Amino acid sequence: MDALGLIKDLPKKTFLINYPSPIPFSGTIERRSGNNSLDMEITKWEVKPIPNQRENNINILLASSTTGSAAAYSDLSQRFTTNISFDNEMILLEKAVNTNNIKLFNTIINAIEWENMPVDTYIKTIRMALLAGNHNIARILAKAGGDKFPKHVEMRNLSVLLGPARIVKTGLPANPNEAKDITWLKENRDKYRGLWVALSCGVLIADATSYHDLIKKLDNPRGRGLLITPVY
Amino acid sequence: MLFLSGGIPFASGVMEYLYNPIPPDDITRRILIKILIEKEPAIAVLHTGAPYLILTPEITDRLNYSSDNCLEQTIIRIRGDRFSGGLNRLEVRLIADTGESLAFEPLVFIPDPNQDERWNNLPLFIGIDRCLERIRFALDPLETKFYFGAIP
Repeated sequence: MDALGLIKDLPKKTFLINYPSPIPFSGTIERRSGNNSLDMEITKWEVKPIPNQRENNINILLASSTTGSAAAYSDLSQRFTTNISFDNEMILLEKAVNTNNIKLFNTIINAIEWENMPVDTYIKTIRMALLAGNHNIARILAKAGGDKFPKHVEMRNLSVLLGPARIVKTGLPANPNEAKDITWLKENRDKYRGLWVALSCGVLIADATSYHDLIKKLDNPRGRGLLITPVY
Repeated sequence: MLFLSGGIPFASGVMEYLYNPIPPDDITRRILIKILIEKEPAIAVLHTGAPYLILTPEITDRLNYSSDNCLEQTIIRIRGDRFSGGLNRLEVRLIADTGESLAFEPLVFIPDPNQDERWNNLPLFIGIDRCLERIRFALDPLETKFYFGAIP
């Protein structure tokens, strides 16, 4: 394979460098002209990390024939081109998620040119971000994807789910009885600390050493308005 | 209740809060407020550094809810531990002792089952991001009162 052609066809800013072991890498490739040790004119391609990426701070020179003929420098071309493979961002993101590497995940996300990405890529990346525990990235992409693809149902649903909290109702009545449970917890903290209690309007209904033991004492507590809580 | 300059309401309701450490790890005290999650009462730790409303396995059980019902699956880190679960929207109410109560719909993290041991009695957290972000609130430490009001 012609290394020059390979590089020309590369639109990505993120790729894998299998040298000396697989390293996901974000950066740019710049052309450098020069001569090799045999005094043959070659084009060197310098891979530079994007700024502030210390962990990937490596420089690798790719050599290629300026005429496009890999055969002329078969040894040189083959050596480097077989050591370097280019992968797409989705595979790299999956690797980052699977290895729980949030820093790498963020690096790849930042290197992707999102304005050119289809809606499926947004959706898949948002889900990967959530599985990586990167909620901020998920929210940013959900907002951007929702704005860009407002008619796409799945994208819109994600955008709404991860969007701002919504006020549903205001002006609802107060209920002074709600404060009675707080008053009970203040007054009885020392006696019941560490236990689980069930309260109703400031009255102790039951207590137990664990949640499950307390639930066993209560006959179907759901929907009865009981405050069930540990005493802190 | 409380007003901004110009007479714009800041808070429309007030409730009393607890101010206690949460065992086993806390040595400093936390602000705990009573909320209703889908009408089930619960005590939540006000955590301004946390996102979402983060449910405990116990309240998830009481709500008869499951992360399987959730729209998306995710991982969340709490005090250095990773927990799996789902994300959904649930209705939460702040019930005023005096003034007006309000209902809002935050993003809620619902933990997967079978993490009870690792959960280690972590409390229910009510955070700012995607949760209280549309609600103004203020504290009166002298009276242990939590003032709140919706941002129009």
